[in-house]
Amino acid sequence: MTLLSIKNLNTAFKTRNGEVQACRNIDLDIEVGQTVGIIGETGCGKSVLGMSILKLLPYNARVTGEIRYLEQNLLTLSDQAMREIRGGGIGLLPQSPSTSLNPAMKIGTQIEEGLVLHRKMGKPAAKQKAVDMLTFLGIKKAKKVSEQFPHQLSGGMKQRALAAISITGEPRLLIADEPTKGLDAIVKTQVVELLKQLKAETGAALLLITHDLKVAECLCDKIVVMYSGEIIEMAATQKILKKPAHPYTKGLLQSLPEAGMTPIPGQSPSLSQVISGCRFYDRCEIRQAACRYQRVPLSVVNGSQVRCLYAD
Amino acid sequence: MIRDILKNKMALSGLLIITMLILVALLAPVLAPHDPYEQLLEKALMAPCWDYPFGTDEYGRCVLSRIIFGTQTALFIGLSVTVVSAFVGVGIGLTAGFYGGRFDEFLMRIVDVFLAFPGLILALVVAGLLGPGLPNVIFALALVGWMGYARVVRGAVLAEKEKEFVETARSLGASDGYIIFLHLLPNIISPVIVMASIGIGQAILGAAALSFLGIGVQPPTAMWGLMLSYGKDYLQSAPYLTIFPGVIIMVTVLAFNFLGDGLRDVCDPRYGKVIEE
Repeated sequence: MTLLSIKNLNTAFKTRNGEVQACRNIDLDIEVGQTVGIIGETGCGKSVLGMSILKLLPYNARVTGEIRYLEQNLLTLSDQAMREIRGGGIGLLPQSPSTSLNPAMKIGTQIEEGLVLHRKMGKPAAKQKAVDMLTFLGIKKAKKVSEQFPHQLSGGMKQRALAAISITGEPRLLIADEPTKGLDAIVKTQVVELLKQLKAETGAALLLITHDLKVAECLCDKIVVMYSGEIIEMAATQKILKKPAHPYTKGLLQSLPEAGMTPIPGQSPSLSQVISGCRFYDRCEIRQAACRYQRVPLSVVNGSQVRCLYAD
Repeated sequence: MIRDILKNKMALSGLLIITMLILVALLAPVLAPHDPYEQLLEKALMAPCWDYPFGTDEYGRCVLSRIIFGTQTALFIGLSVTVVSAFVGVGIGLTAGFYGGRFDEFLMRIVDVFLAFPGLILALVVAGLLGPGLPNVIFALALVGWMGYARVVRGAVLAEKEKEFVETARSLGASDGYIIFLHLLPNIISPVIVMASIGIGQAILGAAALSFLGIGVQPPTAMWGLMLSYGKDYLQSAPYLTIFPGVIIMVTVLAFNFLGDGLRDVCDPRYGKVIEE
């Protein structure tokens, strides 16, 4: 069953220097319980895609298209109804654990909020549940921790506390925005384990936004590669890693340390740049004359969806 | 929290003095050696002696008793002015900072207009128009005292609302009101507390100034500021008329400042705590 269905999503920001289009014609389906990884370099619009789903974008953003969660189109939903969805239907595991907790509020209280709001729990029951959740996520002395403030916790503990917060409303889809950004290898492994644990506990679908292919490989059923605001390749994890079709995906895999760290030459175009043809044209090794002006649609090549005219 | 306040020497000394002042205000009828309003002209302008420790004023009233009863007036004015102006200022600052845009622009221009007037003059005009009386003085002083809170709170909210914990709260489905009052307010309250403590002292001084200019609290009400302004005519011959009220005003303002500084330290969640495993 399809949990979330995104159709022709376009997200643009009006700025003084013209319109910055961060998401272009995104089509994406997430099944119930599925883990989808969005891969791409910094500034390719992957975080914006995540925030578009939750409608947590700055006021100058303009979102068009359709984001269907179960039977509702989120883009036409009222603020009130959207608040019900946030946390209750779609949860967010934020990027940086150190700043995503309220410094002036006890850990326990911050976990209770969602329980009271979405599960209509009473205060004492929520308090107990918060401690249980922390214990479940591997925090020792959870009762004591729930009475502490964020600055008294280590980074890993904060991450766990945030994970607990993100699932308080029993969301059916969890969006994890760069959960491993800036972490060392050991903590990264812990976070991956944590995400697996969260999934096992809640059975929720996971939208993992990351630039770390290794993390995506460990967790995802399906990988979506974004480049300059567009989806350029989308396929099952093993397929995309073993047999990448798009030259950009191939380049990404070759830039991994074990593949020799060969960088892709050049830089991705600015998101405000209007390009009639392929957005990867300037950096592509297999480019042809047609790529320059012809709009490239997503097409099926060997079972992967690829946005390339000459993919093999 | 309370233990932290008691551990902080500044806060503790301020708190002790303020507690003493409150006790004095409540027990004024018991503590005062004489009736603060009884005029005994034959005892006018007596120097401090055993019967009148702080001397008597030009109408023969006991200065000590008047200072003791003045505590009531001072604390009442100080507290109510501060509560009203902090309430209004924080409310305006929170909404302006949180919603931003034209709304913020509009509110801040109102603040600018109020700041363009010299505070005391504006209070003078308002109190003059409304006529004498304690409620009018409080209104006038609150009217010129809220802008500081609005400014400080707005600035703090502008910084806080961009932090990621606000987004976390939003991603959990929190409403604007919930975020403003439960997430933002606790994070910006420290400067408000510090301002409020100093504000109480300022309000006491402002009320005294209004009284001195003949607008506001009227004689014969026992009030420190009034005593100062009447005593100034006898600065040479009877300096105790101004010294004692002056000292008590200074001590009071100092006590509130100490308390404010101490509270600011204690309110900071990082204060005096070690990371425990």
